[in-house]
Amino acid sequence: MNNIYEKFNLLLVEENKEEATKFILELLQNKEIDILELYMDILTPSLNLMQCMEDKRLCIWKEHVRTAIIRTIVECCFPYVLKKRDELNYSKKGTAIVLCPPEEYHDLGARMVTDFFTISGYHAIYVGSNTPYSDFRNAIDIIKPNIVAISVSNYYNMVVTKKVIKEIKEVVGYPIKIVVGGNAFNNDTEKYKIVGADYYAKTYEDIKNIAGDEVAL
Amino acid sequence: MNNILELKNIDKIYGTDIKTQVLYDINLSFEQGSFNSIIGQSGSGKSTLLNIIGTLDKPTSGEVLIDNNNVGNMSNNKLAAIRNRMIGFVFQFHYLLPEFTALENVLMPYEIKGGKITKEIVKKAEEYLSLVGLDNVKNNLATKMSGGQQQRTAIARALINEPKIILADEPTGNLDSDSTENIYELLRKINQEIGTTFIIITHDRKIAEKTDRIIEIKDGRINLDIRK
Ligand SMILES: Nc1ncnc2c1ncn2[C@@H]1O[C@H](COP(=O)(O)OP(=O)(O)OP(=O)(O)O)[C@@H](O)[C@H]1O
Ligand SMILES: [Mg+2]
Repeated sequence: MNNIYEKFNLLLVEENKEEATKFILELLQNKEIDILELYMDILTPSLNLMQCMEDKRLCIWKEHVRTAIIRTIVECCFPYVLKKRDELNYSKKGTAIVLCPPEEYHDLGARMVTDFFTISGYHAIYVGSNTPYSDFRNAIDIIKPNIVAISVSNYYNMVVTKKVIKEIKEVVGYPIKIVVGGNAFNNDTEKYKIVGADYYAKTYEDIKNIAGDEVAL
Repeated sequence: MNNILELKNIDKIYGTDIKTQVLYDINLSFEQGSFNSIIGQSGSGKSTLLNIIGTLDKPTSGEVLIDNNNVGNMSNNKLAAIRNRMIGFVFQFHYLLPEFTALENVLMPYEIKGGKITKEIVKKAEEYLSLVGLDNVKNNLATKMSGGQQQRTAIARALINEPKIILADEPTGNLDSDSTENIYELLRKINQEIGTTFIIITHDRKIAEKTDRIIEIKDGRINLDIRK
C-alpha cells in the first residue's frame, strides 16, 4: 500500500492527471486495491497531507489542481462503489444526504463519505458545497432523510452548522440523525457535541457503525 | 497558559425604570497572548461586553479580573491607571479627537499615561502610523482623513502604550477587503511578536475565521465558544 501511495503522490506532485487516473483505475480493474482501501489509505491522505513546499503563493492553486485530479478519480470509481455495495450486501437503510453548509467550499471529503453511505446500504444523496440555508431545510422537509451528514472544513462554519442543526432538530418530527465531519472537527473528536450533532465520522468504519446503530433503532 | 482576563457571572441590565437585560451570566476567560474574536448579530450585546471587559462600563453583577486583579474593588484612579497601562481600545464608532492630527491622536494615550513627549516616542508613533500605512497623512487633522484612515489611526493609537490587551470593536468595519486583510496581518503580527492579547468584535468572516477562538454571542448569552 505504501508503494502505491508513494507512486500516486509522485504523479500528483507532477500534476499528471492522466497518468494518476490511469494508475488508480488499473489497480481497481486488476483487483490490486480495494475501493475502501483506495479511499481510506490513498485518496484521503493525499488530499489531507498536501504540503506546500515550494512557492507559498502557489499553495491554493496547487491544492485546487490536486483536488481536481482526485475528484476526477473519485467520480470514475462509482461503478466500483456499487460493486462493493452489492458484494457486501448490507441490509437496506434509509436515505442519507451529505452536504456542506453555506460558504463551505471544500466538498471532496463529503463526496467520498457519500460513497461510504452508499456502500453501507443507504440511498445516499450528495448535495455538495455551499448549500444555501433555506434549501437545506426545505429539502429535508421533502426528502425526509434518516441521516444528514454535514462536512465542515473551515472552523468558522461551525457557527452556521450549529444553527442549522438546531433548526433541523426543531422542525423535523422524527428521529433524524446528524453526522458531522471534516477538518473543523478533526483535531478534537468531542467537538461535534458543541454544534449539537449526534455523531462525528471520519472513516468508513465510523459510517458503518452509525449504520449499525440505525438498524438497532 | 495564564488567564489575563476573567469574567465571572456577568449580568448587565440597562435602565432603572424600564430595565432591559442585555447580558446573562457570562463566564469567560482569555489566555495571555491569545487571539480571539467575538461575533453575533447586531444588538446581541458584543459592545456592551467589550466595554465591561475594558472597564469602561460596570456590570450589574459579576466580576471582572484583569491579570488576577478584581477591578470591581478598585478606586476610579486605580482603575484608570490599570486601564491605561494594560488595555488599548479600538472603538466601533468613536475614533479620534477631531481637532488633532493623526500623529497627535496616536500620542494621546501616552500623554494621558503621563509620558513626556520625546523624540523617541514620536518616532515610535510614526513607526506605528507607517505600520498601518499612513505615512503620507500623519500630519492631517483627523477630520481631513477618510473613515478607513481614521480607523487605522485608531489602531496605531491603541498600540502606542504597548498594552497587554487590545480590545477592538469592528476594527475593519469601514474597510475594503484588501485593507481588511492588511489590518488583520498587522494585528496578527503584533500578537505574534509582542504577545499582545486580542479580543476583536467583527462581522467579517474573513477576520473571524483566522482568529484562534470564536465566541458567538446570541441574545446576551454565549451561544458558541470554539477554538481552532
Ligand atoms: N446605554 C444603553 N442604554 C440602554 N440600552 C442599551 C445601551 N447600550 C446598548 N443598549 C442595548 O443593549 C443591547 C446590546 O447592545 P450592544 O451595543 O452591546 O450590541 P452589539 O452586539 O454591539 O451590536 P452591533 O453589532 O450593532 O454593534 C441592544 O439591544 C441595545 O439596544
Ligand atoms: Mg457594537
